[in-house]
Parts: sequence; structure tokens; C-alpha cells
Amino acid sequence: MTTPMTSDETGRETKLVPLRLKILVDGTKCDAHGICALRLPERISLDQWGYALVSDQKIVRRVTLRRARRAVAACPNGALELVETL
Amino acid sequence: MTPAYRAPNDHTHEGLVVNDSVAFVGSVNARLLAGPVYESRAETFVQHEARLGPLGVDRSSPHRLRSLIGSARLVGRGGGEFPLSTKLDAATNAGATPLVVVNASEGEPASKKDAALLQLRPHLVLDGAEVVAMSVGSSDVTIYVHGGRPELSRCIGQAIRERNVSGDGAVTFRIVEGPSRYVAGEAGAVVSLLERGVALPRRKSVPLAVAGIAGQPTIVSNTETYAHAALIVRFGSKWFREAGSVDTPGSTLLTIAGSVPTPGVVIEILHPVTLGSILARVGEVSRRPRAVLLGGYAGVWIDGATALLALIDRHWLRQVGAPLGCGVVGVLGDGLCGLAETARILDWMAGESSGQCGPCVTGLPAMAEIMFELADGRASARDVVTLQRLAVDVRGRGACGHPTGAANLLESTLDVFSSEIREHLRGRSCEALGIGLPLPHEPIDVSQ
Repeated sequence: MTTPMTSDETGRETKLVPLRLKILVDGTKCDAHGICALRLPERISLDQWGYALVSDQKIVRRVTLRRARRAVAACPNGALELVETL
Repeated sequence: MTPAYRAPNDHTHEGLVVNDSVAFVGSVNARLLAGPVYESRAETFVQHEARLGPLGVDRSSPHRLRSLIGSARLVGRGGGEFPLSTKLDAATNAGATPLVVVNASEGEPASKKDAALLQLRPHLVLDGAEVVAMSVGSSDVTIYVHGGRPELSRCIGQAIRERNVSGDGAVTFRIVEGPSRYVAGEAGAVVSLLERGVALPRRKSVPLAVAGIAGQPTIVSNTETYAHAALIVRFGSKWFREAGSVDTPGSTLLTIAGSVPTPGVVIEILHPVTLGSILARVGEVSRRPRAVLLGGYAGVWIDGATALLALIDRHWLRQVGAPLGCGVVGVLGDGLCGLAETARILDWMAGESSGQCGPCVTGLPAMAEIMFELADGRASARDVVTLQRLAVDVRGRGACGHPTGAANLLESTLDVFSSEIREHLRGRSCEALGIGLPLPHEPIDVSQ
């Protein structure tokens, strides 16, 4: 089975993200606004005080990546970032 | 040709109290603590070289030094048990000239082993730092001393002056005194202080050995780790590996704290032995302790009966989930309350948070408060569930290991002291009074 990594002949976008990305939270910046968890609930939850708990799971789907970018951008403190992982 | 200097394997100075806080027993074939006890306490550079010989390192082949340290398989003695050679390789490959930092910020309240080395064998530490610096092509060593310990700065300062007189001056030493906070000894906080004068842990996206102070590769290792390197270079990695176990070679320093005849005694363990036999050596033979806190205040409690049979070997202890860490063995006497002890320690840990990360700032005081309620017999079963939840919610959070340490302590408390918890939940007033383990600004001894 091959993984579609580029656009096909019809020019349709691939479903998979070539880079292995995950979200990291900088605990020193998180102030429990909670917006990220609204933007990306499948990867980010909140603890009992509202601080972000970020899943270690990699992002492989393009749709998740788009939502993740929005979650990262939504943080008022810039506490989240997308990082490349192995 | 026989070597002019023998590797230290002495039977020396049993039970000697060196000063009020540091005592040491080197009766077990000591290495780091071998040699005579000097009137001035600290071994001078002349005495040091007369005993062990000059460092005699070939500066032209840092690679050989790194492979020597690598084959010794020396792991860090500050708590993380990280292989030193991995740091050295990472720093070497990072491109820029590395900086070397001796982390002598012994903020762990019960730990005395680094202070013992600085006060008794400062040149072992400085030799080791010199070796590490040369192995990565560096000539810049910073000794980072815990704040509020002017006697340690004086001691190491005197040792540096002695070397400047008779040494070759290949390495420049400087002393920096950090704040007297627990978290200030965390490697990231050490780098932060040296870089911008504020000792705050930070999230490390790349290892400090790759990018530390101002982005320069920085080796930050514990005082004892360097002292071992000084002996490895002299007597070889094979000699080093003859002590310890196959998985974690080398001798190790322990501080025995709490309910023992001489709290704060520092001893050196050459081979894995049971904790029971170690405690028998420092004089605690009469009664079985209620529990033992292994690895410092971010460590875990072990039930007394189990603890006496536990093998004091870094690898084995890590396997069973009770890492030796910085080598603190906190003994809780039979008459003391583990819940009250934990409450006091958690309260102190909450205060020592650097205040940067929410779960730590919010979670640790909550833990301490509920633990005090529990110790006072005013908590309910629901509170115990809350404690479990708190431990889960702070574990692995934030920029440093501080909240995780608190979670370790709390979870092992709930496990080891489960029968006490049941008693306290019935609202029974606690018969056990007194303090077992030391915290800053508290009386250390309570057995009287």
C-alpha cells in the first residue's frame, strides 16, 4: 500500500501530511484560556483548572493540521506550537 | 612498571563527624571519600596530588578522553542518571565551543553529599571539571553553588586559588552563587541564571548540551559526577566499573537522613548492598523503620520491611520504580506519621515552585492542604480521590520535573501509608508526633 504524498493527476489535495507534526504546549505560557481545546478537541483537553493537556499523538491528516494551526493561532499567549517529530 | 599512585580503596575514618551538618563514614572501601581527614578539612591541591598523582591528561586528544568516560559508563549523580558521555558527544557535535558547568546547587534539603565533596575533596571536583572541559575542547568551567552556603563558595574558591598557584591554568574556573531555592538547581534554571541572572526552569526543545547558555553547547552535571571523572581518568574505566553493578558502574554517595543516630551522614557505597545493612552500619539496628523515602523529596516512599531488603543499586532501584536519584535515603522512624511528613514536604515543594506553570502553581498547594487535613484526621474518602486526581493532573506538566516529583511523592504516600490513611479517615487523632525528615529552617533532629 502506498501513501499518497503528492497531489494526484486530477490536482486534488492529499489527505495525509508528509511531515510528522505534533503540538507542544509551553506550560510556562499557558494561562488556561481554553480556546485551543475548543478549536481542536480531538487533541487538546483541559485539566481540572483549565490548563491545556495536549495529546502526544502525531498529526497525519491534513484536516487535523488545519485545525491544529487554528488552535495554535488562537492562543492569546502563544503557548502552543507545532513541532516536527520523528 | 607499577603505577606510582594507587587507586583509592581505603578503610578509613569510620563515623567521623566533619562538621555540624556533614558527617561521613568511609569505612566501606571508599573511593571519592578515601584518604585521610585533614585538619583544614579540605584536601589541598598539594595533598591531593601527593595522594592521587597529577591529573596528567593528554590535552591533544579530547576524543580519547570522551571514549574513556564513555567506556566507564558514568551516569549523572544529581538525580537524572543521564549518561555523561551522551552529553559530551552531543556538545562536541554541536559546532560551537561548549561551556562546562558544575552543578553544585544542592537544593535537596536532606542531601549533603555534594557539600561533603566540596568541603573535603574540592580538587576531585575541579579535576573532574577540567577533564570534562578538555574532553569537549573547552577551557571555561563555572561552579554553580547553591545560594546561602557561603562556606561552600569559600571552600571551592580556596581550592581554585591553590590550583592557580601550582596548576597549569589550562582551564579558567569561576564561581557563581545561585539563589537558595530548590528549583534553582534544575539544569534549565542553572543555565537561565548564568545567561540572564534569573534561575527559572524553561521548556527545553533541544538538550542543553546542544544549546544552553546563550545558545552555546553547555554541559551541566552534578558535583559528584565530576568527582568520578577525576578518578576515571587516573585509574581507568575498567577500574571504575569494578565498583557498582554491571548496569550502573561506579561507587555512589548516599545521604542518610531522618530517624537515624546521625542524620545527614554521607556514606559511599562501593557495591550493591541492601539498605538494611547500610542502616546497620550507620547505627540504626534496633527497630524497623516505618518507611523510607528514596531519591529525595521528589522520590518515592517504600514500606519499611521492603526497604530494608531493597538493594541499593541505581539500575535495580530504577527497575522497581524507586530511582536512587540524588542518593538521599530518608528514614521515617516507627513512631512518626508518614502523612504528616508528606504534608510538610508537599507544603514546602508548593512554596518552591518557580510559579511559571499553572498545574504546579495550583496543584501543589492543593495537594499539601488536603494532605494536612488528612494528617489531622479531618479528611474524607472523597479527599483521597481528589489527591489521586491531583497527582495525575500535575504529572509531566510544565517546564521542569518539579510537579512530577510532587506526584511521585504523593502517589507513593497513598500507596505505602494506606493503613494509616484508613485510620486517619476514621477521624482518629494521630498518635505520632514529631518531625522525621529535614526541611530548611526546621530543626533537623527530633528523636529526643
